[in-house]
Amino acid sequence: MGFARGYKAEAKRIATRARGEIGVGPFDRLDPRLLAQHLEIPIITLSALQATCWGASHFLSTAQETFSALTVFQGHRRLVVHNDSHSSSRQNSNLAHELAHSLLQHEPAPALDGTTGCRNWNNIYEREAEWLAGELLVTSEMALAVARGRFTMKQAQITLRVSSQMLNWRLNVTGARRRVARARARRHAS
Amino acid sequence: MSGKFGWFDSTALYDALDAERRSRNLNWRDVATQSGVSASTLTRMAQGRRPDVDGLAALTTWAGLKADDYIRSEHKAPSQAQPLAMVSTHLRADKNLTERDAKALNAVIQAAYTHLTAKD
Repeated sequence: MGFARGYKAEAKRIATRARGEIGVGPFDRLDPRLLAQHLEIPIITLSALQATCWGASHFLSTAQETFSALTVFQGHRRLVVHNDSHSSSRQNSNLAHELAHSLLQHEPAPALDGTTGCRNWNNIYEREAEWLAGELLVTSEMALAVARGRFTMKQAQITLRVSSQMLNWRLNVTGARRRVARARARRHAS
Repeated sequence: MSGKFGWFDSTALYDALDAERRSRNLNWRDVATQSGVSASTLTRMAQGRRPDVDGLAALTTWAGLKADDYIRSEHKAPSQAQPLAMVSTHLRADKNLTERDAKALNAVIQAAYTHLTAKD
């Protein structure tokens, strides 16, 4: 399933503007915590809640993989809770995803369906936030620079503090790998 | 507000913009595009921050509002917390939750909501 027409360009504009507002260039690391500060969105960890909340302890230990992050609202105001037992690169991804929902002005919904207790899931919102989180963490420019060999995968991962999965995904979905491969093939052919 | 004669009610402005947005059947991203303000500005306003002067001018012009209408001289009434059943979220978690996971999630939401409202 694709995005609405123009969404990817819109996400790129939002990410470039947000990165610029906190003084982060296209090849620099974006720390989601700094972006959250800029957006005035408080962040709290499950560890900070666990003394008073058994649910936090549950997701820090027995169900660690189940919960990544959530944004809770009071009116228009929001707060982000995230699972700090995940790796730092995954935490960055989780936080960027939540901030992406905010930047995209996605309307919140109750987490669980009131009658069945099932998890509510807005597929369009989730996919849009996933895409913008990727654009925030690994810009299209950075993906192309890595594909061209200006940075190794390892260097880029360390600089950006993202997982290899995130970096690989961005190299593929931005078309950076394909563009570089085509350019190489043209050079060999000529 | 001690020592100052007036203050800007950015929450009331945000609510007025929200009403205007709804009446035009737009989402907030349309507001950003049409008014020219950044997504960050709207997010920060939702958190209770005042917009900068250019953002204020752009948004009030877009909505046909007068900035003067949001300048107050009295203290702000405290905002009403929502009952917990109405608390809404964005959630990044496994799609298939067990019953215990769902209960744990509700506990986390409750704790987070308490934390958020305690800041008032």
